[in-house]
Amino acid sequence: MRSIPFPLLASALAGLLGISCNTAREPDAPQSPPRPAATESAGEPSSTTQSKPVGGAEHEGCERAAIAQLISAPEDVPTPADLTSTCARPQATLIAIAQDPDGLGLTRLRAIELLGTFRSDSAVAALAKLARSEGDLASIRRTALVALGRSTAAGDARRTATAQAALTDPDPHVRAAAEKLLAK
Amino acid sequence: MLPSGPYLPCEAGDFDLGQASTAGLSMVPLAVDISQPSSLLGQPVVESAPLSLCVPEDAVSLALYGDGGEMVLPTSWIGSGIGEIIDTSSVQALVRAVTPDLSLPKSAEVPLAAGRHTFKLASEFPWSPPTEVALRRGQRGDATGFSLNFIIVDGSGLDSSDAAALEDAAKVFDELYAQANVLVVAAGGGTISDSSLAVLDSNKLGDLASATVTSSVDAPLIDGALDLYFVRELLAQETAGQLAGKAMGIPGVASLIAKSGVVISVDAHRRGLALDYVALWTTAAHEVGHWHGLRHTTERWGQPHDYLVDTPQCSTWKDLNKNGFVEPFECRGSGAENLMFWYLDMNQLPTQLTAGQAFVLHSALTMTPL
Repeated sequence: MRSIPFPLLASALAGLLGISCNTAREPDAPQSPPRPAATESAGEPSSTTQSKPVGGAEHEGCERAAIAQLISAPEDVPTPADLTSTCARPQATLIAIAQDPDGLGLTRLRAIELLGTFRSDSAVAALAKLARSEGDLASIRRTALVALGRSTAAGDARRTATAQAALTDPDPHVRAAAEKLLAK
Repeated sequence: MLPSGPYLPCEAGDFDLGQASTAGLSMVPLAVDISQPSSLLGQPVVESAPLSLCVPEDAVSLALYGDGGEMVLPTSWIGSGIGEIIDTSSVQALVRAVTPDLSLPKSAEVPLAAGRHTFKLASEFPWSPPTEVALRRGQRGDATGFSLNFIIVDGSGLDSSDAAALEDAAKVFDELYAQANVLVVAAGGGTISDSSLAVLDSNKLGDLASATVTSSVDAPLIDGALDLYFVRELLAQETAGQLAGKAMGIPGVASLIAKSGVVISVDAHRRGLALDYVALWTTAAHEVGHWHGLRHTTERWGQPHDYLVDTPQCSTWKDLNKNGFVEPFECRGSGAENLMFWYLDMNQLPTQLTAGQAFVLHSALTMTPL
């Protein structure tokens, strides 16, 4: 049985967040930086152009309503594994949720954070666009910048350009996120 | 079936909580030395020797705060009238019984009985933590009330333009608790000017609770009240770490900084740029329920359940889409309608509290009989 640092065990139990309450599983381990999913080609296929037909169950799991519900539990933060166990290719759905201007804030913000676990061109492009969305919530822009930092490597041109543009954002938390991103 | 146990009379040498406390709510410090090697879930930990408390006859509720933070866990409890209820062999059992802090009663069936209660605490390393027992004495009451402080952090996005809508939507909160004969009897208000706290890590809640609050002139802050904070964003440490809200303790208590309130994310409740005030207040009601000691009726995996016999359970077999979660659409009629279901569905808000949950609320540390 792998060792679980006690403070993190206590913290996980105390917060009742992200806890695997199935006795067959260990508690969630401390969060290490997420491993990015396999990168996709520059011509990012949408769910409608997949070369392989999606099975019925997987397709249902990838429906927007299903993904939105999965990622919207107010106190329970979904893990990337939670997401991909339901839908193997959630990026297009996550992008649609994140970009929905009328969507519930919690759902959009979670979708943006989860997009940060992908390194595909489509995910990066979506995050960069969200980070510049002037008429949107500052929390959307800030979260997109943080996710962009996870989704790209230091020195990535898109990351650098987006962060530099955000240095003049009217929101101080967005500016702070941009500074942090450029400093990495 | 919970283990039932005999009344355990107090013994010489027990720490006499009756002598150390007064009517109402008392915070009683305990000297605990965590120094004995032990194991928890297969891991080496350090544990205290058994510490026995003598609970007085008029005790209504009790909470054991190992260190006021998250470094100490209770690992054993042998309670008068209930027997040992902490099973330390699984995460699930620990979650159900003691986290984040041990409190009694858990239900009318798992009460806080007078007499001898013996516990142990564990931590990763040897130390003497600042352990305290919160004890409420007196009458429980069938109708109770509590006070709230509304504290808005600058930069949260809430301002005077939201006041009317917030006040109007607050009836959702009131109606939820009215089911249980629980009322908000007084409300104060204040603001925190440190806007850096508007985007808050959930492991920095102590910073929020320690921040300087400017009291409202019209509704001054109330000592001992539950502090209900509104921030713009509340961040957990996980990857998709946005939270809608968080209670600082289950239960919380005003006199411990780290456990003194509830935090709500404003932007989590926006639809576009508009604010869903009803969803905001429902989340607040859920988190306040935790703060008063209520647990989730069912956890995300379909287990464990709370100790209440009248809260609906949505068990693992209802996970129809086999994604490992019991979601609201799978639990309609099986608990999704309850305020304390693990998943508060903001598109179909919960509306129910049970008589068993009312018992826990009436017993809560900071409730006052009306």
